[in-house]
Amino acid sequence: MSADITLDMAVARQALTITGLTGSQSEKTRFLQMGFTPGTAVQIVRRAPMSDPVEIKVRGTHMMLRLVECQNIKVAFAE
Amino acid sequence: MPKYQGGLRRVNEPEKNIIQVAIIGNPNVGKSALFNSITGASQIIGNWCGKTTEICTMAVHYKDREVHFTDLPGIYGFGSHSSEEVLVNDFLREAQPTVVVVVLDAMNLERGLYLLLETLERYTQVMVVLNKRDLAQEQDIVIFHDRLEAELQVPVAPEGLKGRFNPVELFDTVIGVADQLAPVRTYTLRYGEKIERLLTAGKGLLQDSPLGSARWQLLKQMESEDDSLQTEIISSRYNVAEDIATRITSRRLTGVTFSDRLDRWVLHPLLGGPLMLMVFAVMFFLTFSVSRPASEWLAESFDSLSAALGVFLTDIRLPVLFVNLIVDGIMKGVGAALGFLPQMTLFFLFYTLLQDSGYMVRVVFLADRIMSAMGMNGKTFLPLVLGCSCNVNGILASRILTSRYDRTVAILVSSYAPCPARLGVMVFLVSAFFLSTTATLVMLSMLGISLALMIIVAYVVSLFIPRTGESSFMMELPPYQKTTLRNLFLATGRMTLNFVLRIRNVIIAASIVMWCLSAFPVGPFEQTYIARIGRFLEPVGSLMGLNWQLIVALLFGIAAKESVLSSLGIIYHASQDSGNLAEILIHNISPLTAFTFLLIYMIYTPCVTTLVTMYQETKDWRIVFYGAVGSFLSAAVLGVITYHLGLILF
Repeated sequence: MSADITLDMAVARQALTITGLTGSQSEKTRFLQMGFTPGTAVQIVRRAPMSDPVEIKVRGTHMMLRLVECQNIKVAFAE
Repeated sequence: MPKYQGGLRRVNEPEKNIIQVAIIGNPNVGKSALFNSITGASQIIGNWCGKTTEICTMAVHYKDREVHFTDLPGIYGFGSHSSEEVLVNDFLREAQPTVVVVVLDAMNLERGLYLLLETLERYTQVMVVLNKRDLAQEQDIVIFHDRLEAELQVPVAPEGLKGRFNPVELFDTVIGVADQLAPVRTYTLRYGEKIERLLTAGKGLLQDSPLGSARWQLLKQMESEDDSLQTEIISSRYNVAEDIATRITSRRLTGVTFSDRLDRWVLHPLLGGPLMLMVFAVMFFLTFSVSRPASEWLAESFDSLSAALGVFLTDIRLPVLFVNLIVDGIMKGVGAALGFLPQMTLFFLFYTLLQDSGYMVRVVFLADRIMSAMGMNGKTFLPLVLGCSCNVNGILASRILTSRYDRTVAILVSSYAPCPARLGVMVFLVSAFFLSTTATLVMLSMLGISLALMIIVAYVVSLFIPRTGESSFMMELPPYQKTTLRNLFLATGRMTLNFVLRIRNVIIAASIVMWCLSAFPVGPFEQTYIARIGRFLEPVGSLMGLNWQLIVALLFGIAAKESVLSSLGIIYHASQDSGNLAEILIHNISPLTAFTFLLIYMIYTPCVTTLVTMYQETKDWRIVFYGAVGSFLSAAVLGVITYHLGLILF
């Protein structure tokens, strides 16, 4: 399994699983509280014009994140 | 201590008849909608995450009891990781509500259940309201709320389908929970072995208190002290939430929804931007074209009203000076402002429609990249759009920005948005001085210069306030939603009323001050105080090619932007006919001076109402000072440069 992929590198519609979070303490907490827990399925739905921010789908809802935020979400390809 | 406005009474000894109820939930689950239907208030309802940034409490009388409902901002958990969470936590700590109502969104259950699970850990007197069931039903999803009730042993009041909420059932449940009529809850969320062991070890160290149960306090302590424990605690809660969500819904949402299909076009990488510009262009066009007859009618009736009032006041032998103050000062100022009211109302209507549908969140998504290149958050786009209806609205809308940097920038930048008052004056002067192609270029260059200034403002602010909190961009992109006519009109009415109440005092005060300055000492206009100030400033003005008449007009513009034209008319003794004023101006001013004047007019000190709103929203004189003096200085400097550059070039 490739270890160092973060969400910003992913291609749209690629099925991914969250493996961990990086970043400041409060940022990590916010991600966790919104359901970005390890093992959760996530995928990129689309990118905005000029590819930032991105729309992602997680826990059945759509969210928008900036690329810098996506860099703090470690992911792996879902089986 | 009275930090929370809106009628919240602090009760130290819990009075038996008052029940404090806190309404919490994720952003955008319909807390405000619920709040409105039970309290009859008309707090704005919108498909906008994080809009309720002011805590609002309303009292409802029911069966000899007084129930105080407090609508709180949307949160995802109890912590201090966003300004909303801090606000909610402060409130819970100080007000210590008897009952906590958790609002769940049927279409977004997992996050809601997570918050519910943590609330159940923290408080004992909890109930649930299940919202947006009809949206779920449209997708053929049935939510078995009785299963939720049984599983977590918490009362669940489902929102009625298709109709409005039935408050009686809710009130009965609230009172039942408050009086602890319901059976004692025995549900406890079980964590992994390690955490349970730590919880057992910590027993007795902390007490159950109105602030939260001992178990919850211990968990919070573990979360803050140990990263891996935090991940485990939150993951465990989410696993349970996921599990419950699966069991209480008939099926999971799969496949492509209507929102997905619409977003393919609305958020298209190439077409999304142009589409957005079109939407706003149509909105502004409709606003101004539809409202024009109403504005004209209103202005005319107000004119005749004030003329009649003048005759009446003279008839009852009031002093001439007093009659003039009423008619030429107050009535004129108020009338000019009233003329903008129809378009304001219409603009609010369209804006509310776009906001409630969920389009405005998508606008943020589309605009963020460009906005952040200019040093602004994508959300700043919304205050800017609203600022084009009136800068006051832009400043108020800046509340949606949570970090201090973003909000300060949004407030300052909003005051550069071209408002209808400014545009009216500009169109008049530009068309008087320039021919069609040149006129368009002049208008565009004005808008370009304001845009450049906005970027500079953002940069200057970043020198004083660090751009932290940049990571706080993340937000939900909710599905599109139909809005009800009732909500639409309630919100529009409320915004309009709010606007009128907010500006009326300042408008009247500014009109009185300007009238006094231009009426005394009695005699020819050249001798009045305002003319003397203008003459005194003329040496400075001449650096920019401005004579004292133009300076006086600009001074009037600080009271209200639209009054520049009428004051120019008075100064140059033009008759009512505006064609006349244009001719007089062309004879007296060179096109270069006119251009410089327009430039300064566009960017100098915003009107008093805007400055007052800036202060009310920030409570920070430095920001108002920058807004007033900073823009004045930048206008002066740019004015001098433009004028001299023009002298050299032409």
